[in-house]
Amino acid sequence: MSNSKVVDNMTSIASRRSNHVKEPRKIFSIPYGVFLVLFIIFPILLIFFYAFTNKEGNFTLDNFKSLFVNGQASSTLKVIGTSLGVAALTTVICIIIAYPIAYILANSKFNKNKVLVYLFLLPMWINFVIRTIATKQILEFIGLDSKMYPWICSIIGMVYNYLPFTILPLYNTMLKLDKSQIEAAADLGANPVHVFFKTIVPMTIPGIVSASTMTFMPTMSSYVITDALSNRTIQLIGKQIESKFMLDQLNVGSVYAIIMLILIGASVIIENIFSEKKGAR
Amino acid sequence: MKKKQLLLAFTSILSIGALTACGGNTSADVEITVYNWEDYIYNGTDDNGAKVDDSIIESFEKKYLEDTGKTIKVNYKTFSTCEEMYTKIKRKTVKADLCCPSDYMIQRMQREELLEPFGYDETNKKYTTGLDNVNTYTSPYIKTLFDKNKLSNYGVPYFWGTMGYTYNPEVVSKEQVSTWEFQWNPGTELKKKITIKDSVRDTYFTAVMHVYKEELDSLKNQYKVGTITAEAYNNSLSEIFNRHDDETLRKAEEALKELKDNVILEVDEGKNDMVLGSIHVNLAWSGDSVFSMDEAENDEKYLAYSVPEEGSNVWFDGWCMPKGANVEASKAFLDYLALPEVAALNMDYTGYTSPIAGQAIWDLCNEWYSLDAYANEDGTNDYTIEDCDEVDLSYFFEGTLDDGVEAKILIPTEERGRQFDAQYPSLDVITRCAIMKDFGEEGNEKLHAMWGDFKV
Repeated sequence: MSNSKVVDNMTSIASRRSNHVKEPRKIFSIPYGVFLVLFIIFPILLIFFYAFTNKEGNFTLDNFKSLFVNGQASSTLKVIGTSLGVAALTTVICIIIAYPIAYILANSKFNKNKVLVYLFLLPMWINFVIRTIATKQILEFIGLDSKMYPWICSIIGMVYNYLPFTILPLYNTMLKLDKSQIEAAADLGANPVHVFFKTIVPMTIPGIVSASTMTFMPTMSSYVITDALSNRTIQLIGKQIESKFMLDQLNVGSVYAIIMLILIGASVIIENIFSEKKGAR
Repeated sequence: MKKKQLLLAFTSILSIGALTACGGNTSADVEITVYNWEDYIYNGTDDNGAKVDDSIIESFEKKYLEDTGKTIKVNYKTFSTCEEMYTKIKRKTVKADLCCPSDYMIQRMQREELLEPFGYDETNKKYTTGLDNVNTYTSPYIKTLFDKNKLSNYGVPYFWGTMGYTYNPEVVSKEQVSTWEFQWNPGTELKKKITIKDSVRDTYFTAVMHVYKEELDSLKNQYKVGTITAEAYNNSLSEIFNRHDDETLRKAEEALKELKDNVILEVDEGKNDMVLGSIHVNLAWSGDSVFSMDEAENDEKYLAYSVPEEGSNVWFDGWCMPKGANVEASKAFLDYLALPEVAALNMDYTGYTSPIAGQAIWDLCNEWYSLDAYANEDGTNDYTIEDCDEVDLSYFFEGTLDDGVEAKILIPTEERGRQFDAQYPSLDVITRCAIMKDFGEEGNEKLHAMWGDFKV
């Protein structure tokens, strides 16, 4: 909460300043502007350029055709399907695990000093590639050979890596839960199950939605995890982009990048629809 | 033990990163960048990773200063697949003076005019300037191979070997792995205990060998009974080996898809998994196989190496100079690598076989593998001459040894099919091994599309 106070202070300082000196404020935005153009807008333009041109740089739609019209269509769809499947499965499992944890964290007295929250965030301080290699060893140790159970191992790895991203948004929403509503529901005779489904869940929908997108979007392309934990049997869309670029097929690789942009764009739109419905933000 | 090594590998990767990060501005007179496979040069460390000696790079830098009076700084960068190297050189993300692609990739880079010539005199079969040691010490076999494939002007050989199966003889019999059919019919117990390469060309050719098995077998019979010469046999084999027409691609894809329940794809982990025992058969480059066999011996496990009878791949990695390279300094580096003493250090460290012959390499080979190498400390030997095969390696060492030394070595029969045979395949094996050729732009595209299709 002290954070939001600081932010409030800063915005008020900023607004006060801007009344007096307008020019310097523009200067402050230059670094971000440069960053935006150089690392976001320019690369996206480049992706579109490559996707719609051939090796000689002439306009063509062959790259799309080669993925969707000719013989490769089934494998393209399979990659997209696998990516969506892995992402959906990971998201659902993450939410199921994270929801009670977030609730306990948000309501725990012990949590005053945030020890528990930090415990869940701790793995994020270690690079995920190292974590994944370690996960593989641990799974093998408990008898889950990634060669025999590629799907189980990969999903475990995904859930492990993205659980903190699911817990945090849920935790934030649950901190702001209106306790009096819950108490009122209980006082008015609702049993604990009803209390949970009629008051707590509806109030945390914005948290669930943002937790879902936080998990769903990156898992679609986290191929390092599936590569290590499925021994390259599960092919995600991110892996396709990587291997096309490695084979110097920049044009087809860019089409895959656009497909991924579309999928991510779609999930953002779905998130917005949900958030607006519930009047969050 | 393995974990320790893994840790060391990590720290060394990190430290290489740190070194290259701060090596930006040096005041050396000459600076070259060498772009090589990971773990493919002696780095001055012993088996435990402790620094005991100058790395090849460091000793070259000293030697260069001695010879020319100029200081040189060698930047060393690594890649893990040939295709990655190619893309980075082509897009100039890495500006290297020397890179080390495999056979087919040298042809491709040459075709696309990405390479600087070394200056090779076709008539005298010699490099004209700056590569005297390469001229003197390179094995006649490798020289012929390079000439035959018109690679000499653009590539200088660095390591070579064959491809075959590393296997655990306790679980798999030699007969089983003496044919590529093994991958398709491993029996239920070995399913998913076999790894093949997640690398297009290396796995594709095994499927081709499977698809054209009958043709290959009949060729081999003709050679055995003497109706065709060894050269004719090898030429026809090489043609089949490099087939990539639409029908072959389609059949190969079908064959590969049948493999999915039997094998696991890998690129680097396989050699260690063999040692750990989590897999029993590994499609491996001979050098990796030597690594696995050496490591397993430390744990008293005995692995072996087999090159299937239908035929296999003889591969090599060679140094090339991308356009714009510092020719003079690059040649100096390559000539230093071609010194038999230096080649011996590299061989000892990587487990791969150097194309350099020469007396120093022959001595090393004897020290490692001949009957005398098995002598106990008290001078007795568990093996006698009767227990040994005499192996003739003159095809490889001819003309590079001291006067009066014959290229014949006594190998205990029990040790056949292990490190020695992996490092120095017999003439018999070499005859049934073919070189990978570049498939051309269209061929590569089709092959990669097929491969992508197979993988998902």
